[in-house]
Amino acid sequence: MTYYKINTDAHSLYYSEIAEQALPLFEVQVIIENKAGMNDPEGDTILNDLVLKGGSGAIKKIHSAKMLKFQITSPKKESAEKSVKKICDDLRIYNPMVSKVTFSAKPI
Amino acid sequence: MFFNRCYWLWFNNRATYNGIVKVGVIVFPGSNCDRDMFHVLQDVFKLDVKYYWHEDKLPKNLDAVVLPGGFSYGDRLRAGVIAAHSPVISDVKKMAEKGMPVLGVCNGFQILVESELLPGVLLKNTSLNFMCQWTELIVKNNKTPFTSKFKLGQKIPIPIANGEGRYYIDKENLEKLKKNNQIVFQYGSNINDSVFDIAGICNKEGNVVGMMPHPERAVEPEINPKDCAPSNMIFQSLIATVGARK
Repeated sequence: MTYYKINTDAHSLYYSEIAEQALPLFEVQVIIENKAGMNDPEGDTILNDLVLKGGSGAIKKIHSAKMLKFQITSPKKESAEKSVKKICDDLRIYNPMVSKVTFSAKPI
Repeated sequence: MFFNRCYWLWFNNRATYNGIVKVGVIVFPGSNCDRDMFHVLQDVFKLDVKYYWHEDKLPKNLDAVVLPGGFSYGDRLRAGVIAAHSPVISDVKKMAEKGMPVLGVCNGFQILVESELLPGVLLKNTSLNFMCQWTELIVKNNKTPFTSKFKLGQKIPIPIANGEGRYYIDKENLEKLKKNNQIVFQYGSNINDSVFDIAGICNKEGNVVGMMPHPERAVEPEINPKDCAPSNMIFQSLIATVGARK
C-alpha cells in the first residue's frame, strides 16, 4: 500500500491562490503629496524655470507629487483601497510627517 | 604641528582602548562610504571593526554600530526608507534600546529617521542640487557617546555631501527636541534650509545619533585641509564612552 503525505500548507496556499484569482482585479492609485505649507522646491523649479520661462504666465502654482499604482485582487473597491492603505501605512511608503496621501481604486 | 597632532592622536586613542572597542559597520546595497568608515575606525583609531551585510544578524558583543553614508537601494522611494526595513535594522533597534551607541552618517542618518529610531525626516535640499562642500558645525549637546569630549558651542569644520539633507520636523516635535536636548549639531550658517539649522540629532536617551556631515572624511590631514582635531573627537568620544563602560 502506498501512502501519500499531503502537504496541507501547500494545498491551502494553492486553493487560496485560486480563490484570489477568482476575485476581481483593481488598480489602486496612491497619490503622495506634500502637506499644505511644506516647501515644494521641485514644483517651484518646474514653475519658475520651465513653465513661466516658456511663456505660460497664466500658471500661478505647481505642486509636485508622486503616484504609485497598485494592482490588487479584492472582493470590493473599498477593501482594495483599505488593503493598500494598510500596506502604505505599515511600510511607511509615505512619510506621515510631511506627506498627505489619497487612495482611489478602479476595476481593471 | 604635524608631530603634535600625531602624539595627540596616539595619546588619546592608541594607548588607551586599542582594539578593545568592537564596532560594526553596516553595509546596504548602495552604501558607498562603508570602506571610508571602516578604514578610519580600523586604521586611524585602531578599533576592532567588522562589516555586517544588511541581511546579517548582529553579534551581542558589539560595542557600537555605524550606519555609513551612500545611496542604499538607490534612494528609491525616499532615501533610507527601504534600508529601514532590512533585517539588520531590527537588531540595531534592539541593541539601541539596550543603550548601545549607534551613529548614522548621511544616508545612515536617513535610515535611522526612516526606521523611526530618530524623529523627523530628511527632504531634498531646497536648491535640488547635490551639495558637496565644507561646512561648519556647532556642538549643541555634549552628553552623547559621540560628543562627550566636545565643549558646548565648539565648532567643527567638516564636509557634507548629500542631495536629501534638509532636516524637517514640525513645530510641536521641534519643541520636544529642544526640551529633551536632542539637537546635537547645528550648521554654523543656513546652508540648506534645515529646520533650526539642524545637522544632527539624537534620540531621547542620547545613544542613537544621526548627522548629515561626514566625520570619516575629516579625520586625516591628507584629506582635511582645515583642522582634523574636532572631527577626531567624535570617534574619541565613542572610544572614551565605551572604554569607560568596560
